[in-house]
Amino acid sequence: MSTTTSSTTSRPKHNRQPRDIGKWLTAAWSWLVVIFLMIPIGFVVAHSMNGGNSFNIWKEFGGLKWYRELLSDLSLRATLINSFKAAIGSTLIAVTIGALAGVALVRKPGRWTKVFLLLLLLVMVTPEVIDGFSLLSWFFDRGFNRPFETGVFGIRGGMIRLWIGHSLFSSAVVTLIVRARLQGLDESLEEAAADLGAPPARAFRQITLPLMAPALLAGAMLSFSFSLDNVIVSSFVGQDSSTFPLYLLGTVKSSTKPNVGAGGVLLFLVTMLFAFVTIRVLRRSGDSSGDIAATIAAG
Amino acid sequence: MRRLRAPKYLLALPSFVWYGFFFALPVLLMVVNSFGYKPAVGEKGYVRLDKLSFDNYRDVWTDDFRSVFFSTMRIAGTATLLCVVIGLPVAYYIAIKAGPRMKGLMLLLVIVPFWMSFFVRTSAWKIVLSEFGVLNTFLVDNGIRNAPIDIIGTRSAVMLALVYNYLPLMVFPIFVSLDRIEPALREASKDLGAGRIRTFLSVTAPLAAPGITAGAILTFIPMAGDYVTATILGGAKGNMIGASIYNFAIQGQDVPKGAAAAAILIILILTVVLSAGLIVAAIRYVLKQLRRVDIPEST
Amino acid sequence: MEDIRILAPRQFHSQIVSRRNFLALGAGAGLVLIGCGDDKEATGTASATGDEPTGAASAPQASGTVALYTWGDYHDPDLVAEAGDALGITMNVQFYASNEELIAKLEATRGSSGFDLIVPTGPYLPQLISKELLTKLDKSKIPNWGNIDPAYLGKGWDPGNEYAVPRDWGTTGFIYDSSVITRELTTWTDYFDAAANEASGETSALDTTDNILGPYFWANGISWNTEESADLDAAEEFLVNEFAPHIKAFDSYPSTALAEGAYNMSMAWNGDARQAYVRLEEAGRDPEPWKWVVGAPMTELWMDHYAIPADAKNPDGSYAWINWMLEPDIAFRDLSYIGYNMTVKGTDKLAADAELPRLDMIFITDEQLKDMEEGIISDKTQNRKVEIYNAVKAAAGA
Repeated sequence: MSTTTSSTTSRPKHNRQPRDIGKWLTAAWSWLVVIFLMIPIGFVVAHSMNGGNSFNIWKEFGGLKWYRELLSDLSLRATLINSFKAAIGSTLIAVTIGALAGVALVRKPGRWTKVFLLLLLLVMVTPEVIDGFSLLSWFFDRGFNRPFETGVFGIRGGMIRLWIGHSLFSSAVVTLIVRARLQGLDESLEEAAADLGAPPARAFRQITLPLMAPALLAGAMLSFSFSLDNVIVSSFVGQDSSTFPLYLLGTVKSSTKPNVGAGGVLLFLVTMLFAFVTIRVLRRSGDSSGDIAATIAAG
Repeated sequence: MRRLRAPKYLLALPSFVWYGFFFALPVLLMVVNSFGYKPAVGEKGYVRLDKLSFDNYRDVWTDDFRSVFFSTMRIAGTATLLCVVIGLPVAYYIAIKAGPRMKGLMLLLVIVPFWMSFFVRTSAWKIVLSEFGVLNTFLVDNGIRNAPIDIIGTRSAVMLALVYNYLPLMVFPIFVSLDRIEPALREASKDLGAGRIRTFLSVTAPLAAPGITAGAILTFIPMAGDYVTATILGGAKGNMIGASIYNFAIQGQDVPKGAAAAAILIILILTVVLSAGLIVAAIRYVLKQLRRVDIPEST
Repeated sequence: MEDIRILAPRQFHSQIVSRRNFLALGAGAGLVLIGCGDDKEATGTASATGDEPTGAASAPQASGTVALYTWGDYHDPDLVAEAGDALGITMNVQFYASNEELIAKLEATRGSSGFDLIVPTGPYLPQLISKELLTKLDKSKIPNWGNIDPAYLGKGWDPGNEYAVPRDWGTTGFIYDSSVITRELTTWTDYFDAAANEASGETSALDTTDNILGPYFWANGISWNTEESADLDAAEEFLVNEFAPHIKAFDSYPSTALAEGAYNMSMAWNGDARQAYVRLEEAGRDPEPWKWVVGAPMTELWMDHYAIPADAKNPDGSYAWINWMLEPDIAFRDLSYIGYNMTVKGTDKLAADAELPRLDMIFITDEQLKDMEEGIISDKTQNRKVEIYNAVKAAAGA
């Protein structure tokens, strides 16, 4: 970037490159926005190493003492683990049902599509506070909902409720991403595979699945981040499985200690790892970074 | 032949069941509860349904409720608009002006802050902006200002918290829609003699419209129901309508009243979204008519 | 059987995802889970290797995890960590922001809240009891019961202390910066007056229904338990029009934000106000100008209790914790951290001997006690109070 820009600036002004002004302006603006987005992250990292007892008020450099404390603080550690369990579970649900519905919307359109899209719109438009509040009554109001109260197979009820609550909005987003991806692709491939005698399951696995892989992985990343940040639905349904944001909701109101920053940084690093594994897998399957981003963001 | 017998919506069935059981029915139960009443303090249970009435709706629909709703719409609307204004040039740069390597890097830099837990990254702004924070200390120590600027707890702080947290959800959809524009289309427009601004207005902007719409939905709806983010930096100024539902249901221990407030909120938000959709559709129609007249002129 | 791959267009060749690629992703996710370990396993080992309890010889045996649902930053974290070695239990601490939230969660989850120990405030005990949300205490499992100062037992909300163990108590007042508000403030009337003048836009109020209404009633010589609708109407009128426009934030724990310079005056509970002095020093600011005022002419007296939910999975763990907290030296350590008057006999003397700073903010004199009243939760006013609370918040946000 630096080499190209320097070469353009050294060009005489009458050269036919006037649009570079637009490039310069938008580039400068974009970097300003990136700096704006990054400022707090830098302070979180710095203050997670605060030697004082308050996250917000800097006292002196304290090294990694809050990270060590984090590992010994079982309550806080449990919330970090719960956050990951909730994110992984709800992502798996969202990707599975979202992918199936996305395929159905593109490949098997019919009268049902309108009803389904309306339902999808309602799911997306309903504010989280209503999802959480209505699920709270639903989970505990009916006898047949027992598994969601006390849990099954050794999984706590709260964790199951988090998976369900977090998966609602995410699965709708995954459905739309998969739909957008498949809409641009040719169905004839699958038909040809069927003509060659491949059983539907095999045609799906070897043709359709690879085609929509970027959409699935993009949807997974979005679902994962939505779940990690969820606080409103969690605060209604997550009783026995407190997540990291719920812990923060409790402490942000009292005195926030630097261990909160340390927890944030750890969660950040693991999410990065998850994202880079995702991007590597996508890269290996041949998408350009632009395509990857496009599928991540498709709406 | 086997496949023909299966209903077309077979693959969407898991989603239908999921949304039916964990979205439609819970919301329905909530609506039913909204017609009941709360048992006396100390009695078991949280709702009585032996007498049904509209009383809760009447009690909830107060001047305060309406004014908080409208101020929430104003806050979420302004923040969405700010996200467009700030995010559009960024998306434009990434999609059209940046080189392939820069594209990947910028996308990453925009999404990375999103992976830091939102509580931690938002309250980190207090480190920078509070009265004795980094910025004010710098300004006062260097004699740039005599007195510190107090930003925390103002309307600007509310906007900062919201824009900061929702901006990536605006940048990405716009990026995707711009990225799909064939460069040839813009070149063609220029070859036909259209200036840069004209090309932007008649080719680029209309094609960015779907992205802006998607981004607006992804930011406005969650903001409208979010009652946590705005209060982290905005204090009392960050009072949002979602909090009223929480206050009725939890603080007031009156689930039926909270349910009535939630039901009203769904209807109001649907109304706002549908009317916004109608307005956008109308504007598009008018623009199309205008452009149709435009083209022969330019050739 | 690789044949059908050739059907895919060239650009998709490399994109066909093998099972291995998917496995790689799955393994990545799995590693995250495994790497983090499981809190239950950690608990198991802790209890297996746990040392002999260091408490009283008759201390009850306990193990496993105790899920403590409590107020934010309300227990010495060192004690929470030491519970593993001292008692063989692992504390899992979660927070609520109000008694209402606590009750709503217990009530809604009907017997599967997952909490083993809660810390409700006195006036909320009757409804917790009548809703059958609490376990009747087995006092034989609390050998240290006798360490409780009898003055705190037998209160109206639980006359025989059948359900709740008094833990600590405190009051409500406000703290202000005398370098900004130079006149002396002594009453709730002064608080409202300063909020409307010198501290306008720089004032915080506690974020509970009763704490927003209480100061108005006390300032006007009315009990905060009033059921007169005229009183409530007048309160709404005043708070919405005269008070709300000057509020910067509803903040139940203002000490940190105050030290950052967010407020010039904050309504606060005495323990948190005391924390503010520590935070001010940490922030490198001079705490000297800050003045603490106990609400006058009347103010709140609150008392928090340990209680065990009816659905507790590990009540023995809860008993072990409660019993340990009733040891005078442990109670004193808890007191040093949170800065509230504990109910255990002798902690006041230990505090005086240790020369803890600002003792007057921890301990309430008998003189002050005369002007303090406990709250009552009433059917008749609860809804109306929430309406007023919503209205004040709406006006403050406008």
